[in-house]
Amino acid sequence: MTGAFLAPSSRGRVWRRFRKRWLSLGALGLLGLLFAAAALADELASDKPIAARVGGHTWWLPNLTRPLELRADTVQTLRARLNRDQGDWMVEPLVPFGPYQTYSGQSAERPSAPPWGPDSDHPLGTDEVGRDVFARLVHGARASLTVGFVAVGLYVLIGLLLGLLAGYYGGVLDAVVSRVTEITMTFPTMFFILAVMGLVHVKTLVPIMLVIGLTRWTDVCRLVRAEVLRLKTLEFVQASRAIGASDLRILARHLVPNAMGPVLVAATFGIAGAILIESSLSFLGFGVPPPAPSWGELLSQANRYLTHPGAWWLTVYPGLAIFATVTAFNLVGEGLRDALDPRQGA
Amino acid sequence: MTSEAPLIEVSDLTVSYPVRRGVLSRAVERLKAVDGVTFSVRRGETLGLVGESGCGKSTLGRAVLRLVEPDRGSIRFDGRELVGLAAGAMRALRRRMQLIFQDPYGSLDPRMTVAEIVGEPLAVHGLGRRSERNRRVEALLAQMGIERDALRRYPHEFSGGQRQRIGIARALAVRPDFVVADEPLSALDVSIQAQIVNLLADLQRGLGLTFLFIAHDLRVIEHVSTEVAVMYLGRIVERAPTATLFSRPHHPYTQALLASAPATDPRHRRVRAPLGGEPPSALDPPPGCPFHPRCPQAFDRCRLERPALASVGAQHLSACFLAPPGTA
Repeated sequence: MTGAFLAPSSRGRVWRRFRKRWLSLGALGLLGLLFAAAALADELASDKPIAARVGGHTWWLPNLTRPLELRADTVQTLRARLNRDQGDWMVEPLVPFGPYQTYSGQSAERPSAPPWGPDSDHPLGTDEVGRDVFARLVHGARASLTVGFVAVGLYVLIGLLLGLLAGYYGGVLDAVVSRVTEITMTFPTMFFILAVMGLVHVKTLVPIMLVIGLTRWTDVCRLVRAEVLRLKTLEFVQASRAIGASDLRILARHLVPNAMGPVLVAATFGIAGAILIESSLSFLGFGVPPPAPSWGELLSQANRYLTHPGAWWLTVYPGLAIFATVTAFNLVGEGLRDALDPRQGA
Repeated sequence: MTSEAPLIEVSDLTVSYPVRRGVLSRAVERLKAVDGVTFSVRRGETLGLVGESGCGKSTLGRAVLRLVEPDRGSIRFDGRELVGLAAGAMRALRRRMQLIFQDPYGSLDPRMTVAEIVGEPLAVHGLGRRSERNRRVEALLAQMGIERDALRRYPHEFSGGQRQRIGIARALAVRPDFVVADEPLSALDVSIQAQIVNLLADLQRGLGLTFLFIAHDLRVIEHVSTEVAVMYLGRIVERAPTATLFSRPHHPYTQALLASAPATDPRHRRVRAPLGGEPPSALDPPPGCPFHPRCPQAFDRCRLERPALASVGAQHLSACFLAPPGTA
C-alpha cells in the first residue's frame, strides 16, 4: 500500500526498520484483514449464496450478481428449497445474512422479538429489526475506508500540488499559497461539513469526502513546501537544472519522490482522522442515509433505539471497529514515521 | 591551438545576492559575489580558477552556465550570447555545457539508480531511443571504470570516488563541448584525487573538452590548467599561462597562495609571503585594493585606488600597482 511511492532502494530499508516495530506490524496486519473484509463483504455476509444449484439451475456468485430469478430468495428460503437428492447444492457466505435483511421468519426458534444477542446464527447479534450486526459492520467498513482513502487521496493531491508550487517557485505564489493555507486551517471541518450537508440535500458520502478533501490539505501542503525548500538547495536539483531538465521534470522526477516520505506518514494519520469524521457525522445523522450501513450509523441507531439496556452488542462492536481501525492507522503512521527517519540506522 | 577563437568569452560579469535583514526580510544590501570578471577559454584548453573559500569562484562557475543569473555582463558561448537567452533555448544549449559538482554525495538523486542518473541528460535532450541510451550509459560507466552491475544500484552504495565518476559520466553523457568542474576533487581522498585528475585529463585529450576548472588546491590547478586565473573577493587579480603564473607570480596574493602551498618540486624557490588574516567581507570591501589589508607590500596608493587588471608581461595580467618583475 505504501511502498509503491518509495524508490526501491529506500523501500527495502524502510521495510526492514518498520518490521522491527511489532506493534505497527500487527496494526498493518489488522488493516490488511480489514481491507480483505471490506473487499469480500459479500462473501462474508450476504442474504444470497456464493454459488448454488437449485432446481436444476446453477448460479455463480448470486451474492454479487443478484439475479432476478432469486430476487425473493434468501439463503434461508433456498435452504428450504434445496433438494440434495436431485444434486442441488449451495455454498453459503460465512454469515448467511445481508446488511439490509430484517428478521426472516424463524419465529419457532425465536419466540422473543429482536434485538437478539450473539448466537450461532448471528455471531455479533442483531439490531432491533433483526438485521445482523456482523453483516452491517463488514459492509459498513466499505463506507469508512472509502471516505478515508478518497478524502485523504484528494487532499494529498491538493496539498502536494500547492506545496510544490509554493516551495519551488517561491515569491508571490508562495505568499498567496501560504496565506490561503493559513485561512483554510481556521475552517472547522466538522461544522463546515454540517453546514454544507444542511445546504446541499445530497445524502451520500460525496460531500463529506469533498469537504474533508478541500479543508484538510493544509498540513500536507506545509510539509511538502518545507521539504521542497530543503531539497531545492541540494545539489542534485541544481545538477538536474544544469543538465537542462525542465521545471516539470525536476518537480516530478526529483522533488516529488524525495518529498513523499513525510506526506505518506501524514496521509496515514489523515485516514484515521477522516474515518473518525465520517463516523461522527453518520452518528449525528449526516452521513450515509439510514438503511445504508456505516459504523457511525450503527452506533447512531443503537443509541436511538436503546430501549434494550442489555443490548450491549449494538454499541460495543461498531465502537470497537472504529477504535481498532483508527488506532491501527495511527500505529502504522507512527511506525512509518520512525522507519522513514533518516537519523535511525539501517 | 592558440589561434582559434575562444569557445567561451565572459566579460564584465557581475553577480550579486540580496542580503535580507529585519522582520520584513527586505533586501537591504546586495553582496557582490562576482564583480566585473572578464576571461575567455579557447577550445580544448583549461582555465584553472583558484582562490580561497568564499571568493566567488563557485558562483562564477555557475553564473557562466547561467545557473545563477548575472546582474550584468556578457557570456558568449561559441559566439552566442547567453545572458538574456530565452529559457527554452538555454535549456537546449545546456546539452553542450555541463557541470561537475564538488559534493559527490549531494549531487546524485538518492532515489535514482545509477543508470537513471547517467541517462537523465540523454533523456532530457531526447537523444536516442531507450535501448541506445542504455548502451551509451553502459559504455560511459565502463569508461569511468565502474563495473557493469552498478547500473541498477543506488548512489548510497558507492564510495566517494565512484560517485564522483558517476557524476562525471553524467556530465559527459551528452558529449558536451564545455565543462565547468567545480572543485571536483576537494571532497575526495588524496589517492582518489589523482585518479580523477588523470581521468579528466584523459577525457579532455580524447574528447577535446574545454574546461573551467575550479579548485583551491594549487597543485591540481598546475597539473590540469593551460591558463590560471586567481580570484580574490569576487575579482580576478591575476591571470597568466600556467607556467608563467607558477614561475613568475606577480600579484602579492598569488605569491602568498603559492608560498602557502606545499612545494611539489624542492628546486622551486618561492617568495616567502605568509598570508595572515581572513579575506574581508564582500559586503564591506575595503577601499582601494581589496587585498591591501593583508598585503605585505602595500603602500599608500593601494589604500586609496583600486588597481585594474593590466598587462605585466606576455599574456600576463595582474591587478597590482607593483612594477612588473624585471622592470623595477
